[in-house]
Amino acid sequence: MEDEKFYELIDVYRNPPNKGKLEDFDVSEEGYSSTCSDRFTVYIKFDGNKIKKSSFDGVGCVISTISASRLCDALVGKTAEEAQSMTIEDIKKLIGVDQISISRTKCATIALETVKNALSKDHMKA
Amino acid sequence: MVMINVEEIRKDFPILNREINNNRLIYFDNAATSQKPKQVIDGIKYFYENINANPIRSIHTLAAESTQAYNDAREKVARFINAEPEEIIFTRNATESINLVSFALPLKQGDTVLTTYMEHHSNLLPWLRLKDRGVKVDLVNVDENDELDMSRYDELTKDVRLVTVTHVSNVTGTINDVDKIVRRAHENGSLALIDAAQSIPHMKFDVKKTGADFVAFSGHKMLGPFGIGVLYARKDAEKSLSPFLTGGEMIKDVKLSRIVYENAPALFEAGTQNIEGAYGLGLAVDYLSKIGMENIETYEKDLTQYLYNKAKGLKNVEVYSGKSRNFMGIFSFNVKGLHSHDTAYLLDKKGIAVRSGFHCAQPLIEDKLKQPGAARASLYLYNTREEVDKFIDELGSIAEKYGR
Repeated sequence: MEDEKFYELIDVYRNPPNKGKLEDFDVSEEGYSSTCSDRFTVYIKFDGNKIKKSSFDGVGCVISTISASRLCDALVGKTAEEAQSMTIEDIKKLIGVDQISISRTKCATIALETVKNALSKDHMKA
Repeated sequence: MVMINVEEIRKDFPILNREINNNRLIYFDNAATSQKPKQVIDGIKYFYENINANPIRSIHTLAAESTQAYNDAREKVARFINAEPEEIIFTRNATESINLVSFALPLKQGDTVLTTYMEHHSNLLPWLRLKDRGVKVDLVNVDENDELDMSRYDELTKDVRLVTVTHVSNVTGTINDVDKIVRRAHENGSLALIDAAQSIPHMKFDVKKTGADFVAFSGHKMLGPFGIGVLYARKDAEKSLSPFLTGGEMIKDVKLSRIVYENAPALFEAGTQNIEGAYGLGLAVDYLSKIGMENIETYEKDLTQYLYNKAKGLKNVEVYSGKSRNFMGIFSFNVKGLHSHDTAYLLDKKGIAVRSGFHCAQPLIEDKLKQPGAARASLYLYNTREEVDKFIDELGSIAEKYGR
């Protein structure tokens, strides 16, 4: 990642869209990684079988925070199955980088993993 | 002051010539693992090219040489900390050493283990797990100067079976008065364990002077290879441990109706051991001994002081370490407004390797320092003032550009 890119991201990081608990949500899940010292909660609201809105809350680094923030936008309109099929490749596109180093993979995927866990909860399978 | 010849020392560490992101590597992640001198690297190659065989079991020449190499390594490590060879149990690392004690010490319901808030998870989680069988776990508090509440050790109750404490904190660099803690534990009839993973690589450590029953440390943090660690168990204390892992070479006689176990240390070294690792650790100990642990400690304390003096002028940087009266080697910090991972990432772009995150000491960082992680620079004998200068310069630029 180039300096300019980091500078652009840090700006978003300090005021990330979709941060804060949704007042009305159907499912939420906490995700954390002690090595990253990241901790996020995601909130998801459905409209029928499609995600209507989602948000996140918590503390993390630039990569984890921005991937969480932008993932929340990307989830809108998706079914749970469609969200489950998302991968790190989708996250890279959301952040706008070609490569994520192995030591930052966890940062990039913590929000997505948490969303997937949220959507795997028993009551979701009904 | 006896100074070590750091330029000569650096020539022994090939990795220090590496370039990282077009900058000469500055390796400041020594509390995580140390780099290895060519004496250790070449020695391990020599072992595999000349000595390799399964020791203890077979009687052929190579097996005898391999056994000899393993025994020699044990003797070297014993001499290094003023122990007897029988008191040196080889493990994988300090974590395994502490786990071994937690499994092998017959602690029961109503017993208390007294650990501290300053611990690495490796000296916390093995004890917390014993809660399942009714063992109580208490934590000695850490004050605002990163020091232990020593008065807690004056109030030990009879149910405290084990007092366990880190010698040097991997987050704040605090050096604890372990001699006093061990003395208090013994006065109370408690056993004492010291996590010396962050101290033995950096200072002279004498098990007879300290008097602890158990001392745990890792080879890879003291110029040795990965996968070899040590549990020192004082001869009398060894008897309080029951067998841990069972299998080959930890028994004298096996009948299905009756098993006669080996004596320590073999009792605690079931199965084929990491001979290469022990051999490499022996060479690392040779290397450290040749330079002299007092010299290393003096040099590192001086370099640490140099770093803290230079860091005083930094803006937008919060420092969490170095507050205690006695500390060394560790500089934990955050650039205000940046996550420690991002700070570490930006330093890495300049070739500077530091740790970030919780440092496996989450209760200390979250509950006491009230931080969602921290970045950490940790020094060793091959680091220089020039490296500290570059680190402070780069950290200063990052803090100026991104801090707030």
